[in-house]
Amino acid sequence: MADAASSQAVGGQRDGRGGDIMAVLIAVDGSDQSFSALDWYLNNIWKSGSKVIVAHCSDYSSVVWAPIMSTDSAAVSNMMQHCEDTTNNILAQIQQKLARAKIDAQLLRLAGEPGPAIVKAADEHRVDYIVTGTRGLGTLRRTLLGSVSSHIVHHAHCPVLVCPFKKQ
Amino acid sequence: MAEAGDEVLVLLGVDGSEHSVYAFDWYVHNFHKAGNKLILVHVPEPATHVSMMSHTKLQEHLKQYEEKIEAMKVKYLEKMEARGIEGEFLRIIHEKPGHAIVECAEEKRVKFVVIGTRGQSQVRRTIMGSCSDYIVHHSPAPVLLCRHSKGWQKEFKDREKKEKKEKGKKKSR
Repeated sequence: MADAASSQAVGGQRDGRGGDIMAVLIAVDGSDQSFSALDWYLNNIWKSGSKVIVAHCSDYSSVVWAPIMSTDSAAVSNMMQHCEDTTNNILAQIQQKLARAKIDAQLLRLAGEPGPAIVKAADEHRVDYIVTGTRGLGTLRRTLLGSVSSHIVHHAHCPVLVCPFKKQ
Repeated sequence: MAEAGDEVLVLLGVDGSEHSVYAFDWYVHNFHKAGNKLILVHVPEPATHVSMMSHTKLQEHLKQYEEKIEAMKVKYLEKMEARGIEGEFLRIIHEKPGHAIVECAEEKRVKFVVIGTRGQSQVRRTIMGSCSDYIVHHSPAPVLLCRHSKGWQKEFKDREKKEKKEKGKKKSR
């Protein structure tokens, strides 16, 4: 199949786009760091005509790891609703940012483990590279690179732009 | 915050491997904006086994070493000139290439760093080389990690052939 060869292509040659058009997937979890990475991309790298995909992977870990019994359906549904609200809030923030920058972008809502979900989405959408911050909403602060960014860096099938957080 | 008049400096870590060539080519084809200035940084591997060598052997070794680095420098400078990119080639002597590149990035206040995922090291146990790993974790500026896909060598050669043909056509008009 021709697709097998084209999926190995570099530059804007995947999907038969012209050589100048780049497709990028920007991972945003809602943290300041991820928004800072998105800003950096928009201010420094973005070129008119680029195909921009902003991906957000909902975080249900608070529900999955909740100490309460899963038989308490009311409590669980409350937590799910809370997660849903948080996600919608983040998606709205992303949309606002893109609208202000007047960028035409696709917003992807992913589910599951964030790292693998982002790598998979990048493959499926045949992006040329992925943009991510170094840390996100995770609570463990022992490492320099958060688990999701670390996963992306090690498992992506395309170049990855890792943006450290700069406090202005 | 950079003002409008500031130069955009891009640091590209290079060793003698194909991975560096890929990172350079990928950056130039896909990321480069006119006006960006490239700083190619090469941190040579420290010469090992020198105490075991005789004087003449050591001379020979150093000569080959220098020639290799000079050839690399010429190659990259030519590539940049061919594409009208302003840049320089720096050689930094340091025990640890990763540290050297991070320090250089800080000193020169580069906009971002470009690096391949592996280098020349024979060790292939990890997904990513130790130098690239260090840089991604410690760089003060964003890092573009150029992981190559399987067919990249062929793709770049094809693209270069295509570009040459097009240049040839333009000249003949």
